[in-house]
Amino acid sequence: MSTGIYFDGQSSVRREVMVTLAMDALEIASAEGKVLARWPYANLEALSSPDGLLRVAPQGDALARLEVRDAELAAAIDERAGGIDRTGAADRRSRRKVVLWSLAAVVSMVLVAVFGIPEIVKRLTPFVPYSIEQRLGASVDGQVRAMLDEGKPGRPLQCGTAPASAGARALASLVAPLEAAAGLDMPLRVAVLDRPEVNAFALPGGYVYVFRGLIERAQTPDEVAGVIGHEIGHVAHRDGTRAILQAAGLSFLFGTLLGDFGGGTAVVFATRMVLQSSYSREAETAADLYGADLMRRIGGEPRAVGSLLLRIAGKPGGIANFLLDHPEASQRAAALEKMPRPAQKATLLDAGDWTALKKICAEKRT
Amino acid sequence: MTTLEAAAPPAAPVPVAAAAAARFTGSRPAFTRLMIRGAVLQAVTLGIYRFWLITDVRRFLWANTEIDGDSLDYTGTATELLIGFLFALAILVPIYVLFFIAGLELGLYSQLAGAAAFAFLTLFGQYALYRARRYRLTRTVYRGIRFHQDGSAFVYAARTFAWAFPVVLTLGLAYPFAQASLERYKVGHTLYGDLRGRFAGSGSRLFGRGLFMWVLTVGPLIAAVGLSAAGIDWAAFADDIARDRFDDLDQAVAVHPGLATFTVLVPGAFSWSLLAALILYPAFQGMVLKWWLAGLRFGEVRVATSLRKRQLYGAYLRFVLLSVAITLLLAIAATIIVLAAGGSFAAMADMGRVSAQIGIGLAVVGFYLGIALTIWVVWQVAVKLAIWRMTVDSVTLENFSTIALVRSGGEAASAIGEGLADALGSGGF
Repeated sequence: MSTGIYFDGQSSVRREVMVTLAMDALEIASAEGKVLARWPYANLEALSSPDGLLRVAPQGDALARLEVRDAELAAAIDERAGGIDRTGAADRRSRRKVVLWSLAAVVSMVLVAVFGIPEIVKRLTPFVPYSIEQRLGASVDGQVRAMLDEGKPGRPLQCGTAPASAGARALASLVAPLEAAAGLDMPLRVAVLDRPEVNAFALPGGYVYVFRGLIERAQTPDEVAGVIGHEIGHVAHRDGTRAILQAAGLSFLFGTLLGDFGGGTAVVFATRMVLQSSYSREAETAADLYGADLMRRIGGEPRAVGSLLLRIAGKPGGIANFLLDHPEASQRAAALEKMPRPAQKATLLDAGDWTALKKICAEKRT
Repeated sequence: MTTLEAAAPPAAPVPVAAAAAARFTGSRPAFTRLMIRGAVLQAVTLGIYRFWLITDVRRFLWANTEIDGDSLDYTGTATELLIGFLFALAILVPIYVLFFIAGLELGLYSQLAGAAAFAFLTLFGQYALYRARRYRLTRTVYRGIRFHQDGSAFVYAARTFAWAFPVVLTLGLAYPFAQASLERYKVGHTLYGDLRGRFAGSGSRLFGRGLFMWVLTVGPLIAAVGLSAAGIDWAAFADDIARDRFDDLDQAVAVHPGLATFTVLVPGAFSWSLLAALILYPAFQGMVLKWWLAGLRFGEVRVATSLRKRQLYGAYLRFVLLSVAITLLLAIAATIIVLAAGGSFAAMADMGRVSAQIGIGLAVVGFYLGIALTIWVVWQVAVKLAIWRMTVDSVTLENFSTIALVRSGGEAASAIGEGLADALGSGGF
């Protein structure tokens, strides 16, 4: 057998042709012996085809094709034309190259994400005007409050909102020296939220929230002040804005450049989570140091946060969330242990104010 | 010199059959192997491998789709897709940065900016889709003749935008007409060589066939909203709301008993709608597919299909059963591992070591990823490949002899559209 099916690329006519393997070229002739095409072997390539069919064409954009079903003829063509890769060995080699270079690209992107993005963001953050940060904070604040508010009737999310609230007054007198010592470029807005969890956080724009659960578990005013000092550290370092810029950088790096065709999204998501948590661990350590220094300057106990951390970390459960992006409690406590103490210890809140602060969420609220 | 003699073939050209059958010749195991390898390589390259995988999949599907004894030929390459994607990045990155800055600047209005960005990118996505279609068509060769597409991607995007309003406003009733109009544009601008396509499917026919599905899914929701809304004194209710008389829903229900029906009927009807949509989806997909195939014309050539909706149900059912079985097996395997190594896990977790927590976290992510990739492969094989195969096998092309007269035409188009569609579909917007 020496026949094949030939399409000349000019019309859709299907011709049965005779195939002759000449010295340096493949010759295609009609049944009458008229030569239709002559393709040099060096210039031949195989096209995608079903099993048991060899489809060859000259390299380039031309659309003429020769289809061969006869295995013997196909093998003979394959043998003569270097550009035909029927066993797929050349293809496998090039695939391996693609995979290896992709892996190299991924490694370099992860390195950029780990070392590059934090450095870039550190240098960019000071250029974000405070007005923008405050507008951003106001918008995030609304979303966070909506998320945390359980909407229980008669129990608004924020505590101490009643006129002449003793708890609010106590909170203000705890915050005032800290804020004065910090000398921030924007006003601080500290509030207690009626949530049972032991937690506190800061948002861009000077919003600091302390949860009822944390105040209940605290044993001294210094512990609460230390936590607020830590959050002021986030405000001073503009960690909220940094986190947004970092998230944007990461989502650009891993979201736009890489795609989602089959599970890619899950890997990208996991990578981003791990990286984001590593960024925030660095930010936490820095905020710890800042808060301890602030406490020392107002005569508070810099180690108080450490003892609070150890107390809540000792209890199983409930804390896993806090631990994920915070460095280990014992490590943090040990680092705080090394911080210098104040020359003279001041009383941050008197007994009456401390009781009022503890009861801030039990007050009647409007 | 080697000469392989011919056994006197009949005089060329070979006559073309009047009606031609289509047939899918690909094997499921080969496709499954392709998918498993692709899924793993995707995962380790964080998705960069997709250009090669997409190209492999298309080569496989095209090459195994046989019409009248000759199979399609996909001539696109992964490198083209990669370059198209890089072009698309060059266009999209400045837009992305612009939206980010706008979001920062606008602060409170950032959600509005987000909505505007979403609308713009959706529209741009339609533009990209049309160009991507052009790329795919010009890389599809049958009997040495290339498919191609004229028309404008801007016009197409504008059409999808214009149709979005009636479709949303009529709660989907206008969908068949939108679909017919868009297909008329797409198919009408599709050419096989010099043979232009035409879409003869009518919106009202699809409307008539699909109306019962709409009634079953959307109908109860409308009825529930209508019925319960009629039982509420809206003026009084609005007044009470304005004066902030209620602390919570219970108080409001006490004053306006009609609200009680509302809070029961509407969520109930909504759950029903979701369930009905889920159950009817294969029938809907099959209906649209059959309507589309039957509406295709290329010159005198028309398409007849013997596709049955129950075939689609079979595909989805196999997917559900297979993924449940595989997930169960993986979960059992994971449980055994955890039980076997449980002691050391617990010891590590007890120490409260962050490294142990990260290790456990990574194990969970790995387990999740394993399931996600497996289900993705099952989806590609049990649903995507199955639907392609059943569709191709169901098709007969009438008056196919006219295809012999087709002359070549059209140029290969660039892959920028594919790149844009890819970047938009996956981007972090």
